[in-house]
Amino acid sequence: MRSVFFDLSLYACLASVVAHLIGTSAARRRFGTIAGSIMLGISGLSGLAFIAHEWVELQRPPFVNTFEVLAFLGVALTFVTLAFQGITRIAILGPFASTLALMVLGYATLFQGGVQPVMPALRNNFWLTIHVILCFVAYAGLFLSFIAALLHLGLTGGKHRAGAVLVSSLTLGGILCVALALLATRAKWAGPETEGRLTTITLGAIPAAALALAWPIQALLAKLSSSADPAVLDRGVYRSITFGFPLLGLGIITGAVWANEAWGRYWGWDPKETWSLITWLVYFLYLHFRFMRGWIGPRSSWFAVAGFFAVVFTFFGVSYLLPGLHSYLAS
Amino acid sequence: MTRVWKLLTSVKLAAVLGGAILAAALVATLLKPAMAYAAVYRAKWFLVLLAAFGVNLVACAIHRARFLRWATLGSFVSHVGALTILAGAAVGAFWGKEGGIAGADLREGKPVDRFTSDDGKTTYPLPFQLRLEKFSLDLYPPRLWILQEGPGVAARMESFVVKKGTTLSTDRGEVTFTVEDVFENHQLQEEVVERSDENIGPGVLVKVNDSDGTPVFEGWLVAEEKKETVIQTPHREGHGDDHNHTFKVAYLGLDPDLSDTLWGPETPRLFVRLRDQKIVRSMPPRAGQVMGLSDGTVVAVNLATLDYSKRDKPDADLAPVNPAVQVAISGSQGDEERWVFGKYPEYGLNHAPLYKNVSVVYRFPEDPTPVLARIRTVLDGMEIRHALRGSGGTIVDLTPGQSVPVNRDGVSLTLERYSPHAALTRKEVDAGGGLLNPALRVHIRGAGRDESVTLKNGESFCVAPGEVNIAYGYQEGHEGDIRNFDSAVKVLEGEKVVAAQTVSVNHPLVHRGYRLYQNAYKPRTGNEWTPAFRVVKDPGLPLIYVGFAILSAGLLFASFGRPWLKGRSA
Repeated sequence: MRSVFFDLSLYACLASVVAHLIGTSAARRRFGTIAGSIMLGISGLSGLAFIAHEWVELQRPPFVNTFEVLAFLGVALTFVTLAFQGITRIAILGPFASTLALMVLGYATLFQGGVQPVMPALRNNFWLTIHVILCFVAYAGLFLSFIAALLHLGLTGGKHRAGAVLVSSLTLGGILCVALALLATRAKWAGPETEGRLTTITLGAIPAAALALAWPIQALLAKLSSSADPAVLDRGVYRSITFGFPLLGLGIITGAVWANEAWGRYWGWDPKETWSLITWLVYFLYLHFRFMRGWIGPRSSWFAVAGFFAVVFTFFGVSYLLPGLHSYLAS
Repeated sequence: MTRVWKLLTSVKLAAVLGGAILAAALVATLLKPAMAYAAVYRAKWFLVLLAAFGVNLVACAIHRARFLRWATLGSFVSHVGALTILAGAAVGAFWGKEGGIAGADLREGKPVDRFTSDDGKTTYPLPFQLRLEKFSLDLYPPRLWILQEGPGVAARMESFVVKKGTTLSTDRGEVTFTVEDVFENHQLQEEVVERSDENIGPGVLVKVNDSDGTPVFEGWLVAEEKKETVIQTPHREGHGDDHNHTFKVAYLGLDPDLSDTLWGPETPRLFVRLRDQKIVRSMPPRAGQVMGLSDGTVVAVNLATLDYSKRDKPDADLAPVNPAVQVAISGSQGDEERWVFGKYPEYGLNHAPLYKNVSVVYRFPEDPTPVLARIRTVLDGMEIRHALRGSGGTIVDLTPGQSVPVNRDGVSLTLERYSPHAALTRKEVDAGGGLLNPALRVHIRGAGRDESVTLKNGESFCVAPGEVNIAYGYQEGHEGDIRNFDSAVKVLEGEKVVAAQTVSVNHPLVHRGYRLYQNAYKPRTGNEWTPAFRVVKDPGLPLIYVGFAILSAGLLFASFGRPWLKGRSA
């Protein structure tokens, strides 16, 4: 159930994005960073208030349906971003990370609806809380690594920038088109009878949107190219992955312990389990290549980009496209 | 040797194996689960791949151990953890047993001492006996459903888990619903009050005695309620007919007609539904009642009779032999008149001359209890008189304090008191004891309403015809409303009960290294949830959990512990 705290979190996040955008002009950089961070902090705190309120209201941890976990992901993103900014001082991440948090919170609103009863297997508040918090804080860190990786590639220039432009315009186009499709379904412009057509239109619109977005993104990256050192961003990618990777590992482990409590098997090759392992292996390979073979620079950032898509597929793709025990999210 | 060692400890091998596992698992998730297991997860080559990865891990761990420093400690510990997990999995695969108990093997009260592997080929003995005492479904309370529809809008039904205080509204906010109360076991607590200051109808205090003078009933009958009170008299030798043990008393107040029809708590009702919709609308079978449906069709009651064959006579003279209602349906397909019958609900479903998509069902409560006494109060000039009419049609005058026989068995009725201002107050209470009679009290504001409605499980209410309907109930088949499956079980060794527990999802039973997990399924034939247990004996499990702990510690130390230590020393 959406509450005033959620709305406050959403609007504070929007204000943070605006402040960060103002800060992109060199003269107002200081203002942008400070105001943007404060607004992001307010967004995160009201997000926490929202979660606490939900928890009391529903008398269960609010980590069960798509709306609830997306809202939590948005809140986690604000805090992870703030902490990361505080430690690494990579100012350029601010506008992009806050925009991503805003998109996640906005997406959450598309999934709100009646509250459904919780199925028996999910009724274990202890493991539910720990498992979801670990996974989604990990996701927040890995989302951040995706932004850092794309910026790193974009600022590096050459074919890497072209690739970064392609990936980011397709991602952004995809996010916007799917959001519009979901909005259309919610607003009853489209119903079950037009679902097939809507999917076709959405799939067709994504490349078109990407095409339209490619030029502004290219221009933005070119404009930003002097404002940060690619090597700093490369290190940022690495640091955010060393944050997300262990937490995702712990998320998988707690999930396994919980599965053993509920179903009597700690690992069952359920698509969600398998995909979380795939995702973890991608980052495992990132770290091993970086440490053992000295993969630094664009090559490793491409790995981080691939890892992000594995995360998104683990979270969304598996729930909506693949059959399995975790598909309760689809309801 | 060095060459082999170098290869074994190389990142290249780890990358190739990791990449291969990754790719195989990726492809497998796209297959159907059964096929994915056969072709990948349980296939020899995949297990060899996992084993090779394990060997690679061992080699790397040994290799690392030689250069162990603070910087590599976390990574080293993580490798050891991962290895322990793989070892635990191998132990489980070689020495573990798993299977289930279900179907005919699992009946309440019948002890079982074996379980069957998933492929059904092997039966394993249990070192104890398990006796299922009772299997039960733990259900959530029913949900509140809101149907919104309208011209040019696809009908949309949403369900909500509600509790006291929950407020919901329609999309455009024109109607709001506030849940005032949720009852698990809804009961009406009735009490009669006399209020001289209010303009409320009369009531009589009545006492009924059995033939030997034992009191069987004492209570107020209130005219306003228009209700028959059922009275039970004790069974006596020699009076075989069961009907004679119950009879009804009704108080008609100042009604002019003694034979006025009265109805019990379950009143006759007409149920109207569009065939492709779940929501059922209902109205009393009274001439002049009109109901609008979402597609613009209007259903109106033309005529209601207690006996179809005597439909031209007033109801007052009739017994409910064949209650029937004639409805007029009008809309896009023209005008239709249709008879529906209380005792033949299917008739209306199969005999729709025009509006095949509109189902009208008339439900008439069946009740064989005869009405044996009706009391009426008569204003005869300035004098108040009471008259009692027995089943034979005889009318007897009553004065307070006077007794009269009401049947041949010697049951007598005493009119104790008369009050001109008696009213029944009803309080809705939760009698407790679980989900026996779930109900919801909801306040509806908007669409011209500002009122509270009580909906029992399965009931619906039309807020605005053709626009908003609400209902309270379960989804068809109860899935999605199950809170848990509970099995009360006892563990026996020899003849002795050594453990008793309620097993439910997330609360397994652990005994002698065996773990029993609650499961439930619906058999292919039948619609009843049937209990099942998953039985696992996994000697690798402690190793797995130790591995989990080591891996967690290693990962956390590598990422957070070491940088922190470094920060402190710097």
